[in-house]
Amino acid sequence: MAKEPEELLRGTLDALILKTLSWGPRHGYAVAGWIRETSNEALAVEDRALYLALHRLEDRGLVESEWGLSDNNRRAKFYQLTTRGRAELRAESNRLTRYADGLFRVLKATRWGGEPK
Amino acid sequence: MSRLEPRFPGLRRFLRLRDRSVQAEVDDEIAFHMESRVRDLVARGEPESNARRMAAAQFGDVYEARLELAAVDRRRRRRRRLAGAFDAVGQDLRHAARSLRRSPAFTGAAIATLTVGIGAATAVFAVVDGVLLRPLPYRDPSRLVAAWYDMPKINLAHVPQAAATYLTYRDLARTLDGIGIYVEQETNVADRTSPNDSQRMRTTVCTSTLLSVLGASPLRGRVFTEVDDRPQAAPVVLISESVWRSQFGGDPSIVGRRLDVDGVAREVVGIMPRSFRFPSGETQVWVPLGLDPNKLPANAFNYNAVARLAPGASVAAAERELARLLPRVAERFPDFVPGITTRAIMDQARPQPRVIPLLEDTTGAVAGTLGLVAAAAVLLLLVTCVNVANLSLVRFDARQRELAVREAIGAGTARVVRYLASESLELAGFAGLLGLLLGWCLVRALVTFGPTDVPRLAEIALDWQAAAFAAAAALLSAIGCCLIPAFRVGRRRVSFRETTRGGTASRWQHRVRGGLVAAQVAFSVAVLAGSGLLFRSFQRLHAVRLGFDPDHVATYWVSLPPARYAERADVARYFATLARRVAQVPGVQSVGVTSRLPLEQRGINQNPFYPDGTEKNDKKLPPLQLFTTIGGDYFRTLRIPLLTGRTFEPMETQRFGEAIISRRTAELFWKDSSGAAAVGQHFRALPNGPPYTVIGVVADVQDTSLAIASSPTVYFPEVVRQDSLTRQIARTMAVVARTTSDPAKIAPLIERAAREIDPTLPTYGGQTMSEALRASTARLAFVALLLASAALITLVLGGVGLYGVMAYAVALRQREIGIRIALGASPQGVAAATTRGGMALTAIGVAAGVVLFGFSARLVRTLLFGVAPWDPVAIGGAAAVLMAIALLASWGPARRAARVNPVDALRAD
Repeated sequence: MAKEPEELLRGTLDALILKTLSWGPRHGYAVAGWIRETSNEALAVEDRALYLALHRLEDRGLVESEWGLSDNNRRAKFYQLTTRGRAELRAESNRLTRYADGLFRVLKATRWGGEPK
Repeated sequence: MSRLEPRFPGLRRFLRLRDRSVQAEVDDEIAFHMESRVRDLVARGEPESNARRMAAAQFGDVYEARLELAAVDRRRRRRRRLAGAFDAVGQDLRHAARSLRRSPAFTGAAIATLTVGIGAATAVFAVVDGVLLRPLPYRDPSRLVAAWYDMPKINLAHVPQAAATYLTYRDLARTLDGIGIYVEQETNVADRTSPNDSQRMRTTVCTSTLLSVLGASPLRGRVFTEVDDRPQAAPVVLISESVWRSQFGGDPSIVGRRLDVDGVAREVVGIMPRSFRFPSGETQVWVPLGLDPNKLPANAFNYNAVARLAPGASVAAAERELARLLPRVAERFPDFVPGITTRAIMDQARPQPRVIPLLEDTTGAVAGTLGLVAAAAVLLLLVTCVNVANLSLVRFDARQRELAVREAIGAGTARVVRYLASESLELAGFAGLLGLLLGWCLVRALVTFGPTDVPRLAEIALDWQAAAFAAAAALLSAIGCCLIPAFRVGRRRVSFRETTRGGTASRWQHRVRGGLVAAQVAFSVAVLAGSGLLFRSFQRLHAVRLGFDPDHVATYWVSLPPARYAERADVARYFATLARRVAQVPGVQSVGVTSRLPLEQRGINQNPFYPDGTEKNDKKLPPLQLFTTIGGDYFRTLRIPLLTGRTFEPMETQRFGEAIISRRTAELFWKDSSGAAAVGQHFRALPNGPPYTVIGVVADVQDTSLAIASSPTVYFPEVVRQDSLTRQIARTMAVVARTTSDPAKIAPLIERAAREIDPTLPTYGGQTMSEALRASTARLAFVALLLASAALITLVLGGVGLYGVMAYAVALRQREIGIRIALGASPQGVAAATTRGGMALTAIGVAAGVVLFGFSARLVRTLLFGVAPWDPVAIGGAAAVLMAIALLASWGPARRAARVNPVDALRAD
């Protein structure tokens, strides 16, 4: 009974990608797969949007790319974080977490003016 | 390595993307994703065709994605490349600056030389652009033309219009979209509230059509309209912006006030802006002409005409139409002057209309001179470029090792060349800025101190076009500087093994430098020869016999307005009194008055001359004479010798009907240059006019300029002479006074005499005859000076270059010289051989220079007087000077060659 995958808010995709890459170099397909699995199918990323975001991150200098060999020896483009990318990830992560936390508090409030259980 | 091609055929064909590798990478990435997705789906049990469909659907629009991703990547690559380039360039510039700072002698010399070349060239460009190239500052100036006549049958050219022809053309010409006429004069102008502060102002008397043809619009008020052209119209006047600001303090209420112009009260109807400089920048007021078609003035062809071509009309078509309309002129205005019909004039003179674009007409006379100066400036720029190229080459030689190191550590040829280029660019850039500054100073100096008869002088300014020219000149110099070293580096001739041992590279350098110096010598010879020619012209001009004695003579002009001096007797009395008063000033030896001073432009009055006793043929127009009115001891004051006969009585008792002629007139009409045959003869100024008797003949005087032969002249007595064509007595006269001491000191005193008699009359144009003489050759003198300066600079640079080349040759050949001396050659012989080498090089340069000069001799021709362009003295002199400099330059190196110690030379390996 999984709900329909939600559309992602703009700007959060970048943070997700950066987080995915924090575990090491990955190619685009792997990034897409990991995001879907880890979010328990709640977050759906259109492939095209993902690749666009990857390329733009590279343009901004937050990730860098290199061609390498995949698990089954196919040529694939691997992305990894740069120093600036790590810093950006920390900042964005904090911001989004605070945002989500605020959302959570408001939505889970049980009465007007009180703390949630 | 899979490609999209089999699955998405034709995609690549549609997308003609420029950067294939970027697109190829994007395609590969997408392909990998698709493959992986399909594999996973198949692993989950989907049939392959389904899997492909689902994969494509999941991806989104692949086509768009490819474009987007490729665009992002391309942008990234471009930015990286730019940043890299910037870094590299910045590095080069920094290193270049450091390197230049480390050799201050070279840098200083190079910048100084280039600055001079660029500055001179920029200044000359500003002048040529402002005068010759830029369009005139009027509405649609390319359609403006001037209209003249050529009358080859009576030997006249560039004749202005007559009132009759103007009126006919104005009404009937269809190829002209308007025509206007004007004359330039001077008038006495005063504010009515202070009549004693009368000033002499340059005035243009014109029709309202002139202003409309030019598209003139006023700063304030209005311009003339048809109403003002009518003879009975209320008198009006236009003033210029500079007069408005300087005389009336920029007071806007001047419009509507009245000014006293030559005794007539005129209302100021408008102010013309400073940008309206017609006919010249010095025009101060404009006054309507007021032609009455029914009562045309008898003075004939003396109106300058400006017209606008109708749309689609050409200059040739206009000329043809104007010629076709001439018979209509005779129909509408049958009498040209009393006694001569228009038809007679047309038949006799056969005027041929000439229509010339206005820009050409205004500046054509000076174009030749400017071309000459421009050529000299270009040569100077070339010489400086060659000089700096030479210096660069020397420096390059010294840096062979450094450059070899750069290449060895991987700089690459392109990088090294770029490095050399950045040095040259920095040098040239700096020199360009300084050169622009120098150019600005030179232009200021030219406008202030140069000859004032250059048309459009006021429009010369240093603006963005001149700055662009300076930048172009600097770029050219930069290229010239680094061209040869870059070429050498490009051909991989830089190596560690280079020393000054006389290897092939050094010999090559010697030859190149020699060639450069020969080029410098050639340019130098050309400029020097031109300069020499001008100086000789100057000499010849000043050797011309003036016909009078200009030393210790002071002059000034006075003009009597008809409004206050209406009667002939009043004018006569004024001038008689004036002459008497001036004669009483201490220091004055003798005084005369005249309507025309030699070597000046004011007061030209040319009329026909009909001697009695020749065939009475009033259909024939005789050659024109210069009519001058004189009084007092004019001839004695200027020391013009009386050849035969007698002179006029003193002014109060002068008799009407007498005249004195010049020797040329006597020769022309009575074939007797001693004048004896002419005395007692009669002539008339009009076929039916009153007769005059010749009472004396005087020597010829250079009246227009030193270069032009004196005109045949007729002198009339002041007092009772009437201008037979206008019945007007001469009111504008110059006072001429011979002084015992310095005329400049006496001048204020004699001018005061005029003000004492009538304080409302301004005196103007005061100068000594010596000053007038100098001014008449001012332009030639100025150009000669310019050329001489350029020649001097090229000589110095050439000499220095020569010295450098020969010193280098000696250093190059030290070993060889040492061997020679060891084998018994004498030091003098070695020195002589060195000197011979230098002279040979110079001789080649001189020969090339003479050829170069031969090509450009055409430019000098307009300014020459009394010398041919191939004058052997000037050219030979230039060659001799260069050889002398070569001798001087080789003295040092020759001595060094003679002093070479063979032991040291041989050991210095």
